[in-house]
Amino acid sequence: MTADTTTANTAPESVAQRISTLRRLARNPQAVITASTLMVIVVAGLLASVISSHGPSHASLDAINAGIGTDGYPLGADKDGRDILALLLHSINTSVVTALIGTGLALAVGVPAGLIGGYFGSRVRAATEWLFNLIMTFPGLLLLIVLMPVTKGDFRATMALFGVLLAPNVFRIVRNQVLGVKNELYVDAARVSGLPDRRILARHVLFAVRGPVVIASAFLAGTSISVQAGLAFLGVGNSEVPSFGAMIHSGFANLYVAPSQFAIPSLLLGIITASLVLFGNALRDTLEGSPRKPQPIVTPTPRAATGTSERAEGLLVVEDLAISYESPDGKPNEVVRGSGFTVQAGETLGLVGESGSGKTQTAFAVLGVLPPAARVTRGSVRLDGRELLGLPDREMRKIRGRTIAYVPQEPMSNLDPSLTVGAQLATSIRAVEPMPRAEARQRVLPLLGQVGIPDPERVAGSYPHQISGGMAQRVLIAGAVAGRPHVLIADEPTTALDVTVQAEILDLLHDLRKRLNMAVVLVTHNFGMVADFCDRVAVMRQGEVVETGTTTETFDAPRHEYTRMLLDSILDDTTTRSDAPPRADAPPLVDGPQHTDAPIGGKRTS
Amino acid sequence: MPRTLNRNHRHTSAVAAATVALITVLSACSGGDSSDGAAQGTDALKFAIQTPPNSLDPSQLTVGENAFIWSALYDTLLYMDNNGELKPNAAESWKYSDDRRTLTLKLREDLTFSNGGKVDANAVKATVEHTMRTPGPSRALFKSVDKVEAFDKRTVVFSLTKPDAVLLYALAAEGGVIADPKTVDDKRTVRNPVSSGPYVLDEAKTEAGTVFSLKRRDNHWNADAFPFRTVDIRLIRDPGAYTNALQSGQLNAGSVRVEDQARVKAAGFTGTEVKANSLAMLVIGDRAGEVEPALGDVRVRKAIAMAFDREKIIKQLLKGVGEPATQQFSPGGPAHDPELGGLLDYDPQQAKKFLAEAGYPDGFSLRMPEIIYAKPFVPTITQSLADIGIEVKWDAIPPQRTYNAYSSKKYPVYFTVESANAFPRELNWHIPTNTSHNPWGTRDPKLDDLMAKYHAEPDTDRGTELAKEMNGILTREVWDAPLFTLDRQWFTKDGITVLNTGKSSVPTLRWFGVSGEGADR
Amino acid sequence: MISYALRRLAAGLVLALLVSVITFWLLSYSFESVVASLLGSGATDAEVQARMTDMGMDRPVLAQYADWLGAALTGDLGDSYFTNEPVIGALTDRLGVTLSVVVTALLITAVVSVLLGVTAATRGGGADRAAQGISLVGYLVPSLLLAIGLVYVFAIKLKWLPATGFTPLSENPGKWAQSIVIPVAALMIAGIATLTAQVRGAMIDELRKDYVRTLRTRGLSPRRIVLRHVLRNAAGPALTVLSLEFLTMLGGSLVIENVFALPGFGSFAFNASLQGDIPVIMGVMILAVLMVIVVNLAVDLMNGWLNPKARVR
Repeated sequence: MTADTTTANTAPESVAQRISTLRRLARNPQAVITASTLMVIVVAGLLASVISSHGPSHASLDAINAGIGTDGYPLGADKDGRDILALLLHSINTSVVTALIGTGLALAVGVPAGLIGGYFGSRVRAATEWLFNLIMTFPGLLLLIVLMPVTKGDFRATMALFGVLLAPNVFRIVRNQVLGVKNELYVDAARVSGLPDRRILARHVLFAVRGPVVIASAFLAGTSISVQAGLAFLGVGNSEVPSFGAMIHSGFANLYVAPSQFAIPSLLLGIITASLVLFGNALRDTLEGSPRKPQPIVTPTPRAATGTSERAEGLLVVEDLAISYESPDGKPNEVVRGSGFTVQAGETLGLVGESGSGKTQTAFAVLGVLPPAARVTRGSVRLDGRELLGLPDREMRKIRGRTIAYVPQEPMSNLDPSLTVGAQLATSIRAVEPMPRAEARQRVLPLLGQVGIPDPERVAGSYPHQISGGMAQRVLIAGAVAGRPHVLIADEPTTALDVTVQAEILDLLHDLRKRLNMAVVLVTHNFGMVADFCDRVAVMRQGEVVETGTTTETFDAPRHEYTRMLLDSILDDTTTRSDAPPRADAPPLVDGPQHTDAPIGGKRTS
Repeated sequence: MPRTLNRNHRHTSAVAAATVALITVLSACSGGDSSDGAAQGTDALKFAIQTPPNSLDPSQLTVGENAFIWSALYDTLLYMDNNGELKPNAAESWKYSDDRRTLTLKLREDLTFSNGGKVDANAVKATVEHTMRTPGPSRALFKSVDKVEAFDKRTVVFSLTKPDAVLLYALAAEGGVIADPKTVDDKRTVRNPVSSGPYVLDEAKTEAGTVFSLKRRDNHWNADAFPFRTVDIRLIRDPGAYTNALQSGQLNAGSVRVEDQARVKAAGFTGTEVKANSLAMLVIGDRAGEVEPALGDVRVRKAIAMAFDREKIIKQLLKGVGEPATQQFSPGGPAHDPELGGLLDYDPQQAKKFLAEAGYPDGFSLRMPEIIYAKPFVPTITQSLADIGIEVKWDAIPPQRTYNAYSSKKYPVYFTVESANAFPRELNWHIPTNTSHNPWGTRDPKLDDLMAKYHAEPDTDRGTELAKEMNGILTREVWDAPLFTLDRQWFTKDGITVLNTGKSSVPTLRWFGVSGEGADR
Repeated sequence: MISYALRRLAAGLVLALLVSVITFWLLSYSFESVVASLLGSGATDAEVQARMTDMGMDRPVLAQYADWLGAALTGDLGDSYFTNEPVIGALTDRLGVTLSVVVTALLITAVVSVLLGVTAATRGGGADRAAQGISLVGYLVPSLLLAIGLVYVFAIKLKWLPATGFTPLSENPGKWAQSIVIPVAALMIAGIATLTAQVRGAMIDELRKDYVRTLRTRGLSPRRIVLRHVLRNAAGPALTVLSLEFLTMLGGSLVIENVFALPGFGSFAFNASLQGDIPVIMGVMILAVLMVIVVNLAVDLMNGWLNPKARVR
């Protein structure tokens, strides 16, 4: 969790970091395969005259439709008697020139305009935006054909024009990036130090936006090549210029006579454009976060519990729980090792520890919602004596929401942004108790009232972004208690909130606990809160529960060194956490689990 | 792994299954399609052309594939039979005065317009005058016509400013159409004229840009010459699509590329060769050497003509569907002179020698317009000329600039393929100034003199001699470098026959017959 | 919302007007060659000039544009120089053909891509590799080859489907469907490749979000979570790609229409451009611009519906 997780929003990266970007790229097989494919193809194009014995326009009547492997024509000859290998290699060069011109012009026009449009005031931005909207509205392909008399069919002129038509894509990317960084500290600093705008743009802003631009370039190059091939296929332009499109056209006419004349250029063109797209994707994965791996919602069924000798009794019993993640090098990385606690009905347990101590992982394991990369390697989780580990998801679903419920840490990111609060709550209600939708909707308002929302009607009709954080947390609590659970796991329920709201939420939980006679597991790093709220406490450190006991006992006579240290620190601690909670849209951490509470010690940067 | 999302899998395969089912159902409800054609038998002719007529207005007609359409809608005064001879049509007879400056035509009596009106001499006069005053491709046909008069209801008289051998051929083609004088200036004439031909446009079935559907007028005076009750002429630009349409039975006649001929034959079509359908050549417009001085030397022009291995081009590139050409006119016409054979035959050594003698031992470079017809030949032309040291660079020319490229004087040499035509009409490309073959306006008093004589010559044999003489001069002076003629293979099914063998140059539905009928139409 | 749509449309009309000015001005450089080509090879310069005078092309370009605009505002885009059809009718007829193919292809592409993309993102493993494989094949297999293969099997060998041509929906729905099956299949293949990758990516991004886990803790089934929550949130980015795919398919229809001799918008526009059919080119440009504007507006409105934060007033 060091440099890797810093994003482009901080200061320009150092040379070392750039090297590490390259190194990460080199570790991505997709990037390596596509980049080396492209490299080989481009080099082959450059060596065209060395590799093939004929020029691209050399047409021998004797060689017409020569088959693959004919002497002097390793890939055969086309219907005009031209060497297909030579044409292919020279077509590569045409494509390279095409990509350079198309992408180059798109960048040359789009980048400066994007910098200016994003950096300067709203009037400049509106003007540039309007101009690029105009360009974007032009039907590109048609315009290129209509303007053939102007470009004289020269593919370079045509691609230059196409580059301008592509520029709005670049413009938008750059402008958005610039809007993002323009008020960053280092840009401000540069401005304060009296650097002229031109220099700031060139030195600082441009540097910060280069990543997305590089990624976009790969796609633009692919688009340029495809469009040039398409135009050549349609016969727009000079057929003397070797090009994949012209080759495919010629081969297409001869499809039944010599299918290879069509297949070979089509395949190579396909490989080039697909490589560019896939390389672009790999670039994006590397520069903008981890590769997008599919994320099955349903996690693997945890291994069935391993028996422990001494069976503790309680409503919820967690014993000797261990969770590990597979690290990139394939070795398991144990993040929870021997977590355990017992909660009796109606009791409140504080699960305390620093960030990364494994508290949240333990909570997820109890709920059966660990991320897919996690494995429960041993231990036992029992609810009312029933072993939960090893239960299939279908069974767990009956328990979740009804018996064990969950209140998350960050209210905003835990609500579906595109549904109204009422609709989301109705969904939760129906999940625990099947009923018609209309009936569920009617149950929403009293539920909102129950969690102390003064104007339930308005809140039910609001979208998450329209309500405050405290309100959102109340909504989440309402959702959690909708099924009248026996155990409520509240994961840092107040951490993301303003100090004034924190107390209210805590009061609400307290109140609900009494009213519904729930057991509560309060996951927190805050001993103060534990003192106020909890009957018992379990202290976690580096994935292990190091001490359990009643709150009074533990506070009076901490047995473990670590507990003592934590207790000492609350004397000068405030009730707030020093580091901000992770943002919902933050890039996931690179090589650990991608969830709150990073499992490895040390403070998180986000 | 729990199977909770299995449903998606099932969906995917369900989609695939549904797709197959859909295609099956669709084919079931269209079962009638192929049997439709069979039921109609040879009553219906279905073929396709690549470019539609721009306009069916008499002043805008051209002699290309689209002539199949207008020649069916209009009666022409004369017509060119399948042997290339002029024959009476709407005019039952014609006669020139001795000075060949007055042409009198006598119309048939039984001509009627599709709206029921009578066709008379006034209609002919009105149509010709409409064409003469409307800018368009046909106007030039009447450039020697001073006036046209209706002598009586059935007699039309053309008065000419000078004798013109083209006129009769024009009257057998786009110049001879007769339109209803009351509607000829109306907008409808452009798309569906009131005319007197053997077919009318079936407006219900005709779709602009897709298909022209023609219905025979069974009471037309010449209906017997047209065995097909309906003719669908589809518009298919892509040659591959054309072949697919033939193979799948959507068409029962058509002309396809060499590459596709085997496939069409395999689908049960019979091929008929239409010889020397068109003539390909390099037009050396700048023969005075104004833009490219080298071309002012006849040896250089000769060298260009000698650079092409015509035999091998025919055999390899054209797969045998053509003949080498070394003379300026189509081989079927009167100008063709066996004695001229061999003059411009392939001889690269001699060509290089000529270039060296003319002062161009290292050759020179030429810029040529890559017009649409040139595209298939660009590599071969480039290579052939490169072999004797002439480097060719091509400028891409969009179709709309084709004529512009010809006449702009920017291109001293250009490649073109022209449909074969009657000799007098071909003559009109070459010698007069300001034509596409003579953009620089080269003049040769001897040729001018011969041409004037030819136009005024009533005697066919004497005319043939004059034609040969002109051809001789043009060929020896290498005004153009003729390359090859192109044949065309027509494929037909269901007892449909192709009667034209290459002598008739105006596409007409008379080219098609049904088996068992005479070929004299 | 309505006023927003109207404002956007008004801005779009201004854009369309500008595009028409620029296009007309660019075209004015080829007026003469167009007329020469209309008159054929025999035409003299004088004839060309006379015809230009006839057609009013000897007047200042601005005056000609004003005439065009005046007529266009009354719904008259003139007649094609080369087919002599009224441009408006010709364009709408052809657009019907193209939209038949493109919209059908787009709908199927969307459904298939969503199924593949969602399966890949939610199941991972083999399903994911399969979806990625399909994407890659989509990039690599030329749609032309697929088209010809389908024609060979279904039109030439089995004679189940027509090899060329188009039947309007209003004429015979069965034949209409038949006539677009192969073109649609050919258009879809690349679209599915692109869109599947996009849906997969958007779904993966969305599935990582906290609310998905919270919904699970409420006892919701994965299917409900995906269908009711994740899909909707992932739809925004996918929709934008779909709209781009629509425009790409319009471009791709140009080739497909040629290969199947479909009297569509693309081939009509293409031929008009090559021939210099000025009234048609102008009409095509205007219609194309309006289509882009309408599609973008539709996407924005749908995005607003999907994503309340982006909702506009």
